[in-house]
Amino acid sequence: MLMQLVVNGIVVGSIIAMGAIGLTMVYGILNFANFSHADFMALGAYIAFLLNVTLGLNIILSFFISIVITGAIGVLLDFLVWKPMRKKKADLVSLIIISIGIALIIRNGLIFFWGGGSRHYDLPVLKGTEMFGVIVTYNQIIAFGTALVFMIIVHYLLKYTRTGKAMRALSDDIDLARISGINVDKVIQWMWFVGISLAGAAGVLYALETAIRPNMGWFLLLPMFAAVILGGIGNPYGAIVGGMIIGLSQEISTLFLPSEYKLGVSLAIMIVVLLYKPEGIFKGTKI
Amino acid sequence: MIEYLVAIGLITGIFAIFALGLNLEWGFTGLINFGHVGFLAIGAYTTVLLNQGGFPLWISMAAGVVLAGFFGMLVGIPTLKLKADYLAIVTIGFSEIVRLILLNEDWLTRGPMGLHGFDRPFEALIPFDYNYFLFLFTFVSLAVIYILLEQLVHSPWGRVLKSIREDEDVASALGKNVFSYKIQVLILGSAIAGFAGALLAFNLQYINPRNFIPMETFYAWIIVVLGGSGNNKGIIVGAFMLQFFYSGTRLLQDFIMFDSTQMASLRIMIIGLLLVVFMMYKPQGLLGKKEELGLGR
Amino acid sequence: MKHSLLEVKEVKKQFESILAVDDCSLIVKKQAITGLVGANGAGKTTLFNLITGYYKADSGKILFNDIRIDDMPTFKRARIGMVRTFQITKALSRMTVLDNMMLGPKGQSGEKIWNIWLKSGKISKEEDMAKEKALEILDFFNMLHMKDEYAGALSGGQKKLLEMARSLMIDPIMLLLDEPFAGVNPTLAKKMVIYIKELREKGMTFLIIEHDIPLITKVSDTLSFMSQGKIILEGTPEEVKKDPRVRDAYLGGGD
Ligand SMILES: Nc1ncnc2c1ncn2[C@@H]1O[C@H](COP(=O)(O)OP(=O)(O)OP(=O)(O)O)[C@@H](O)[C@H]1O
Ligand SMILES: [Mg+2]
Repeated sequence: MLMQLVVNGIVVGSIIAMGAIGLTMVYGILNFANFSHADFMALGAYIAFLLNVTLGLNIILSFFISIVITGAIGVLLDFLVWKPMRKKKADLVSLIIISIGIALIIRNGLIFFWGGGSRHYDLPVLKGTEMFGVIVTYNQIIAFGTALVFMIIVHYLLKYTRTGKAMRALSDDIDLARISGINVDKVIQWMWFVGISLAGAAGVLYALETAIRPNMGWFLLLPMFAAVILGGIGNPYGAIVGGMIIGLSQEISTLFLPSEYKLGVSLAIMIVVLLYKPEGIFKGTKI
Repeated sequence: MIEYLVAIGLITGIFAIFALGLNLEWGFTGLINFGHVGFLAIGAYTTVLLNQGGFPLWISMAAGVVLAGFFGMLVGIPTLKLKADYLAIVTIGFSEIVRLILLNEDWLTRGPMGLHGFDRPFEALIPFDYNYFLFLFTFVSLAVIYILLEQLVHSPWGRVLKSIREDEDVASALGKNVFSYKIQVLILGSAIAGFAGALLAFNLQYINPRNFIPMETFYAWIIVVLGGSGNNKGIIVGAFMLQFFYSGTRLLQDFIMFDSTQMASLRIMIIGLLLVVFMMYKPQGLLGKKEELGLGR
Repeated sequence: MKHSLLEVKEVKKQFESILAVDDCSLIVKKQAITGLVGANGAGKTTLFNLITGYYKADSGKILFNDIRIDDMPTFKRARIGMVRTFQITKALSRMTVLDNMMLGPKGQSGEKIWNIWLKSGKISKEEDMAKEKALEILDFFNMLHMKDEYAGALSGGQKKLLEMARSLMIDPIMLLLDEPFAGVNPTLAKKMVIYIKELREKGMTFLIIEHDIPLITKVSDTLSFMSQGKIILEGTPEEVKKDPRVRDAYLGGGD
């Protein structure tokens, strides 16, 4: 039983982690909590659904096209909303409220076009395998494997590419980065692309694990924020570890708590961190 | 017709009260509360549950208001010393947990079945349509709350709140205990939401967790943003504007090819869009003073 | 009579990779006007932030009136008489200039919520007094005509003045000014120098960060020179100005 929950927790945790990376990058660089981030997960899942089911494309192709489109929408929003607000030097509270507006638009846009019910991808039904008495579904293996690959790619992006290094510079001190000749707007657009397409990818993986629903992001928003805060704001590696911890705790908590209260576990962890270690558990190891 | 207007007026009045609580927090103090509905729920359920448990209505209602305020304080303690977004995150989580508890603790709340059968103020004494009385009761409450809030925000106490909204570093440099003021505001704002919750229960006569979905919070937000944050009069106007939009689109329903789910989602999309557009281009709201515009904070 | 009001003892503050304040010690005597000078990034503002409680020092002690204040929250330090202004002005934009000023006085009855209904008479009396004082100070700073403007609409220099004017409303024992003359026109700056000296005669103590060497020389009794997080030189303005290290720091540094 416990082992089963651990497996589930690792899978969900890796999905939360993947979403949390983008959330923490925005938080670190642009300095605000983006409440629309989780809805981009749902958006990614639905775009993949459109490609896979409505247009009949193969799921792998749909997955990749969907994350590119989702990421591009993230960049588009930078042009439409975030960049003008940056130019105005808007305070962070207005950005937060705007992000809630965007969340409402996306979520209800999905309901408008696809209704409120659950949907599934067009996939061969694969039975799970049993390993050491624990059932692991193929979808779980795929979700975890893909999440792992993406996180490794992000690591390489941040460590070894010029844009990745520039992102780290921005997250340290955006004004200093500007003075030292970094094209701040361009780097920020890359950041949106990476962060939001990761969210889209996480959404598709989560939908594989569960189902495609318009409010699927909503139930991951709080766990993702908990992961970000736990890992220290602006720290993608912290967000990954945070995501795993949150995913595992949520699943294992079902041993003692009704599973409806999983969200409460995220909230509780977050409050404990805020009270005792508001800078997160990995302070000083930014990006 | 008049019955319809009274029914609509009632819900508008309740939402105006609900939004006045948020305006104290966000409009005057700059606190982002994305879980306002949680306090509405606490007010409603406490009033109903205690009353059903045999307590007099007034005591039940008072308990609802106090408990909502108490939870406002609890939510504030871990968050209000930190940056503004933490409050937003924790409140949104808190309100969802409240809803999940209402949904799952059947022994107490009857879960999704909801609660009905409880007293309403003076119900036995009213010889005419009770809704008329409730309308009156709601608007007298609204007027009293409005006047008290106006006195508060125009006092030295309110001046401190505004300074916290503008820049809390200045407030503490001048010896104001910023944390204490924020807690006071969150208690007061949540208590007002709790009171609105009791009124909502009286109006609905039947409450269930679906009445307290996160969207209710954002109705209050759009009221504040439309009416102009930090403008109590504007909030009341904003509540009417939202109601007008809501009823208007409902009337339109018959002439449009969308089904009711689509219409509902479209409505919320428009509200989301308005939030974005107003925060970008008209942060002072429809009625806000022009001079306040463009003052980069 | 001339004993110390503020004592900073070997205070240290490290940011991620920068040691901004490094075992810094400083003594400010009662009723003295002390100038704090040093190159950009020397750690002056950070020292102010440590003294007034916006940052917590990694180590060291801070005493005010012989009381240790290291663990005291900012607002309490202000209440015991230590008030600061900010280098990057913090006008309360969507409040009028007069409201900015009226925020100042400490111990206002009307700042307690229940008093608003219980002691309305006392409150309006206090308000009248505060207003009278506010108008007087605004008049001195040539800003009386601006009293009903939103503070966000003021010019940079006016915001700087408002910042100082507002902190005078509290009747501080010690005032810490972070570049009070920056952006202020020379005539008014000269007037402010005289005013600061007058306030000192009435018992106030000053610690002033300023890059304008002629002005800070005129206003202060002693200068402390800060470099790389440490006070490395103290003395009369004339002595300090002569030191080659100080000359280096300000060489070609404009004003
Ligand atoms: N919050 C902070 N985080 C990281 N580094 C900081 C922070 N505040 C100051 N610093 C750094 O500490 C050093 C000292 O800065 P400080 O503002 O105290 O200098 P200063 O002497 O006031 O300079 P100036 O004359 O330009 O105002 C600088 O290198 C600055 O970049
Ligand atoms: Mg400085």
